[in-house]
Amino acid sequence: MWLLEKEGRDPERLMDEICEELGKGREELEFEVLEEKEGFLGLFGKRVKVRARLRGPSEEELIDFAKEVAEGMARAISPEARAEAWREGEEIRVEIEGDGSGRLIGRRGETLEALEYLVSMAVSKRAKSKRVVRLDVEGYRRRRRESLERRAKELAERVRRTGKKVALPPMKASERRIVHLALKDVEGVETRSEGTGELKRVFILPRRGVSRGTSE
Amino acid sequence: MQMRELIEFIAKALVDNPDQVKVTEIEGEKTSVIELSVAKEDLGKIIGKQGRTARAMRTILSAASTKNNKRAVLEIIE
Repeated sequence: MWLLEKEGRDPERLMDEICEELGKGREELEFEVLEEKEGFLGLFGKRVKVRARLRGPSEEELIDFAKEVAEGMARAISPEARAEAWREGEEIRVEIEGDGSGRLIGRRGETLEALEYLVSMAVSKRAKSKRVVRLDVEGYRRRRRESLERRAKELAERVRRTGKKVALPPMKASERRIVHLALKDVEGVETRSEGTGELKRVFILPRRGVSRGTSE
Repeated sequence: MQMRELIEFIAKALVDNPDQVKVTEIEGEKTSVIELSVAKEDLGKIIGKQGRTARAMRTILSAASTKNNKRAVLEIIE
């Protein structure tokens, strides 16, 4: 949102005037300078338009902020915890190393999720727009994903062999997605989520229309 | 970080008016009550959709308080 626009010849001076009028320092504002057509026969020199809006934090500042918030919360739980943050595509990734006790992870990752949620709320607030933060503690999510993928493939093999569907335990959306993705290119099976809310689970089924030589 | 400071730290990162974040801790023998109050227009940010933000703060608080062997309860003052 542009706060103020001024027209004149000297962009520097216009910026100073805008700062003065808004009661803000230069570092708090972001300026855009628009050059206008040259004055009559060039007699009056170029006129410019300068407009200003509040400067949002840079990506670097946001990433430092994500790290700071994550580390601050984590240290209340595990005093030696350290956080790292970086950008990956549009997402901000945060990795926390704790004391290995699992306190930062919590039962079924619930502490980890709370940390992730609060860091992403704080970062989005600071950025003034919605930002996705993905957070991991001691590689928990990575290990969990790997073991889910392994389990899904074992079960898919069983479904192919027996022609009978199997159900995985209820999982949340992000984990069901891991299963769907792990099996999307596996021949002879398909996956489907069934149930609602907390009870939603993935089923692995023999793929219809594929002859297996067995009858159910 | 003390429990009171933890809640203050989180709350200030979430609201529009950090200077109006007030946190007091009422210490009991086994349980502490952490009272959080914020500017009226920030209340929604502290509670979150379907209470998600408040729930996340409580999760962090209870993870932090097992370290001290003392339970802490978060109360949001409206």
